[in-house]
Amino acid sequence: MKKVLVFLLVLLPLISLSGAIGTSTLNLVGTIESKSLFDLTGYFSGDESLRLDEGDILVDAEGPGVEVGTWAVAANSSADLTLQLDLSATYLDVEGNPVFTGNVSGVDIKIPYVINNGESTIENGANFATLVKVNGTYSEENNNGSVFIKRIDDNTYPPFDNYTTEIQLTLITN
Amino acid sequence: MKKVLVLLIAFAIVGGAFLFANDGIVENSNTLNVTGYILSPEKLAELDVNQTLTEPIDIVGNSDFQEDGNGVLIGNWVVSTYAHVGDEGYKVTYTYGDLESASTTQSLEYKIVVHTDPTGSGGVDKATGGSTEFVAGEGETTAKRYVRVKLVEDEDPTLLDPATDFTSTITLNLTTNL
Repeated sequence: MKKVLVFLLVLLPLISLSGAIGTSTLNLVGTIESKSLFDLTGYFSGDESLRLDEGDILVDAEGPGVEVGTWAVAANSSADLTLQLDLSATYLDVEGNPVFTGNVSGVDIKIPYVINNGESTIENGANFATLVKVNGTYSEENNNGSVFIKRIDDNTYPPFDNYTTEIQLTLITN
Repeated sequence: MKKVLVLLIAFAIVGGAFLFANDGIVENSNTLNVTGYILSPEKLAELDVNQTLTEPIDIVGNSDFQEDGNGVLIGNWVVSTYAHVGDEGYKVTYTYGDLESASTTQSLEYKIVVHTDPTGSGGVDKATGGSTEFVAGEGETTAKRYVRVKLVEDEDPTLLDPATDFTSTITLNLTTNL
């Protein structure tokens, strides 16, 4: 009896396989990684230097100031992105204005200025520009612009050839 | 008691979620470095020389060019200074030779007279190597002088042979720190 049972158990799968013309599936899973490109290019560093006491940077000059760089964002993120102005405390004065700094003959000099996106003055920590999403993506074509700076006083500052400042922009997913 | 605890935990989770939502996630951050300058000391001043006389001077017939004349106005110079922290001394030095005719190898000594007044009054004679000194104050300033030329004493051009190629060049040099 036991032999008959074992035989039947071995035979059942064979019978089953020989009769099965079934359907099976292949599953394919694809992903698109979230990607964002953010470029910020400056005009005045290294050998190129910006004169701080002449031209569009002066407080009484017309327009948003002197253009010091350009930015561009491209992203396929489905999330909302913002571009935020983040300045280091090293380059802020006590009133929160961005500054050029320089040590001239042992004295720390700070030359305050404002940052403009071409349309309005942007405070530290605020959104620098409204990014535009079309069909769920941010194209570089729709998301680029310039960075301008302008002095906020007409004070006389000592001659010096290495006043420096940093302007940081941060791309944030909300 | 359990309900209160559950509510507290739920509130903490929701509140925390809101906090994180407001912070956002930094995708990328870029920094723009900007280097600036305010004119270095050697660039604190500029000298502009403007030649106003373009016609030859009638050496014998022009009464202003004679030793007792007012001098013939030939041009002016302007020194512009920038962004001084304090007072700074400047000097404009004049260097020139005689009027010389290459065709006749004759020469004629003259001098320059420097004026603050464009009409020619109150000038100061400057031999070659002479200079005009002035002090520029804080901020932006300009200094302007008018330059005339005339014959020196005892020089008689009527004794010279005719020539149309008498020439001379006056070089002006600006220096700082008297």
